[in-house]
Amino acid sequence: MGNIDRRILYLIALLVMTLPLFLKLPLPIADNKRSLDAFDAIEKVDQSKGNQVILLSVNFSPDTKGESLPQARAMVVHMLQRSKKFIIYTMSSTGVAGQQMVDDEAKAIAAELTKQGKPRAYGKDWANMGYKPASSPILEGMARNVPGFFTKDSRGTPVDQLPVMDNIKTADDIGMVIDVSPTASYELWIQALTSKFDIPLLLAPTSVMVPDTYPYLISGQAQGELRGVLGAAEYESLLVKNKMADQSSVGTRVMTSMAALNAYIMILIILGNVTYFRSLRKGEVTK
Amino acid sequence: MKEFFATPRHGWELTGFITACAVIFFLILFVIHLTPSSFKKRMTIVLTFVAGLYYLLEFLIPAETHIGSRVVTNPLTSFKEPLSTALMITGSLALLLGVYNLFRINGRLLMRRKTGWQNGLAFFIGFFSMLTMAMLNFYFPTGRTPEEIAKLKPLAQTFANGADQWKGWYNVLFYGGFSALGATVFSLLAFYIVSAAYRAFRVRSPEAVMLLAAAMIMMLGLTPLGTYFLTGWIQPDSALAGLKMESIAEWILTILNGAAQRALIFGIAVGLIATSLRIWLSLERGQFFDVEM
Amino acid sequence: MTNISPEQFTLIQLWFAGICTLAIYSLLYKENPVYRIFEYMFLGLGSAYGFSFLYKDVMIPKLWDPLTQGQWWWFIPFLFGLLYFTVYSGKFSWMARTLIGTLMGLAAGYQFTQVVNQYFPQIRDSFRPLTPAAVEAVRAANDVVTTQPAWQEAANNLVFFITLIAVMTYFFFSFEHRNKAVVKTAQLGRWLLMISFGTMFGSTITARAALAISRIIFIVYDWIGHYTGWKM
Repeated sequence: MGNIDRRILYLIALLVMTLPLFLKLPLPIADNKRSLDAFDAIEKVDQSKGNQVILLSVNFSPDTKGESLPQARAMVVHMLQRSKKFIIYTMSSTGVAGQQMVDDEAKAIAAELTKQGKPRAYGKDWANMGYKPASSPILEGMARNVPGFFTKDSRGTPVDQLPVMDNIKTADDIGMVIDVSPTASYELWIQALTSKFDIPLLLAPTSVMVPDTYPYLISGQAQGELRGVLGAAEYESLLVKNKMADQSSVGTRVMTSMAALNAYIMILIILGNVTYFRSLRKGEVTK
Repeated sequence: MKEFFATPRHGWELTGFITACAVIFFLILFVIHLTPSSFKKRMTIVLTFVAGLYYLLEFLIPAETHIGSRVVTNPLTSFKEPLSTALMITGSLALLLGVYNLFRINGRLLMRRKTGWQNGLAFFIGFFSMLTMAMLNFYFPTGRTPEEIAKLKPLAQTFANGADQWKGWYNVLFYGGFSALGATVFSLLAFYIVSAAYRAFRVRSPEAVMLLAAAMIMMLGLTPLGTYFLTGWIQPDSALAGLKMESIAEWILTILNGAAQRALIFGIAVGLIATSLRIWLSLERGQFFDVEM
Repeated sequence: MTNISPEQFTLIQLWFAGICTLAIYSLLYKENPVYRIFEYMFLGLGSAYGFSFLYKDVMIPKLWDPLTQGQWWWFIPFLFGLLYFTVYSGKFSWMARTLIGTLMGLAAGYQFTQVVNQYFPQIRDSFRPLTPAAVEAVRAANDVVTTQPAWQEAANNLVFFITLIAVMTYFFFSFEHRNKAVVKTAQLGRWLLMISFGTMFGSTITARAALAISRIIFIVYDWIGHYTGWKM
């Protein structure tokens, strides 16, 4: 047991992650206040007066799509189901890929809803506003003139020809900012927009960033959060409970494999330390 | 004067203004280039200070001031939006610098046939194939009607008729290549964590015990491993609900982690203000002047 | 020009993604040239992708279109941006440094203003009621209705406050920790900080696991499943 080849460890990890997928054992996901708050926040966005578009800031690359795409997808399903207008925007060159993936998901979801008798269309219900590199000072410029900042969507359509951008002039017309990102880009939104103009902010960080976001959640600078892929699974459960989605979803099924891998890692930590302390006692290793 | 500079120009006037801009710009740079290093250093310090002063003054000066019966608005606020656009344009060229650097490094690898020159070739194949398909997809998108295509020039029509092919190849390169490679590279970390868990994570001190305990509680509280198997039997509205794994994990995240992270934020904030002040006043040792100008 | 059907494209895409995935995973066995080649190709694909969107979403709408509409003044920031490229020249690199210095000054000035937006709410939230009576008073003043008992909230606030002070004491390096109370508080802060790092470590494991599992789902269900009919 002393020195297991790392390749054997990798092989066992592969089996541990794969087998639960075949067992099809979707374990129930516990409710969480943060995901519930995020869900309620989107429900509360009032677009009845024709303004208050939701700004979905997508800044993830394919590297973290395993976590970020399910998060974005769950919220896009919610917004399209409830006919909440939103625009997709990315501020980083690495986020362009994630933006395209989310746009493609929105198209697929809209097509599905249209088949179900709930017509949803690009340009009317959502738009992909493309990539504009931004820092906090640049976003402050956006706050004063939103159409001037975007000028065109990612397909080259001028902003004034997009029904989703009707009556959207300044930051006062942004109903909510949702930040889906593996980095601390939420700080840019807090600095430039949400704190200043009292705009609700939802966070969708990867699991790595979750502990870092808590100071902003508890101070009220962010109103809700999807905590990594777990948050996506919790949100999907809420969509199912509210009859906005069916049972099958990537987020929920990933949790079962994740539980198995976590158990494996915990066993390895314990095994590794048992081996280490045994070696210490035998005098094979010094502390 | 304001009208002369702020009026849009067209045709030869536009060409003239752009040329004049470039000539004056490079002339000024040439003149400054001839000055001694001490002047360049002082000029940079002044520009750094003035640039920092803009946002500070814009923030400190009230948005509106009433002087007698007149209402005077903050004159600096109107520059925010054009400055934001200018920063975006300038920032884009910084990103281009990154691409140029990659070309330099991989070009050198390929041209000098150094060890691993195949990697340089792979870089350029990936770069130019994606660039070609992305541009074709951008300029010749799918969804054009035959009437719209007929209005294009003959060569453009040929490309427009192949829009489905460009889209297909673009998806192959994006979803099949870039997206798959990126996701897989990052997923390697999961395997490295497995190896590190067995070989490297040693509980040698009380601090390590605390770290491990917190990590295990998080792992149990964030996945069904703890929330279902360990404490799934506890009802959410029972007296023991606070002992559910997810509740314990949430408490640690909110109270202990939240407070510790906030303390870190305060430390970082103070450091950021101090560093920003030093940069603004050009007090940083060796700031931009590591090499003699 | 190629003449490939959408179904064939789907198959090409699937196989290309599968081969790319296996090429990267070959590193787990050992370092090899196949992994290196695909890694460099990834770099090329990624930089071209970012560059093409920079061109489409920034240079065209923000620079080219306004210039062709007669707004000649946008050429000036473009000229400034060109100065970045002088960083490679020893003789002219002062231009890049001047530009970078100016932009750093801009950012530094901006940072001062962010104390209000970003950090003031954090400072305000740190002042919390520490006794049940104080909690009740604050709730009454803000019309807050909650089922959480006041003593529980007060206890949580006390733990929060102690953790905050302890960790801040640990990071206070401006003077030496000589006083026994300060030393003990800093030591407590260190322990509590370890708990925070433990939560980060636990979250990191979860994050990485999710990424690996998503690739395995692709291999098993999208790639192999295309032929075996396995479905999620």
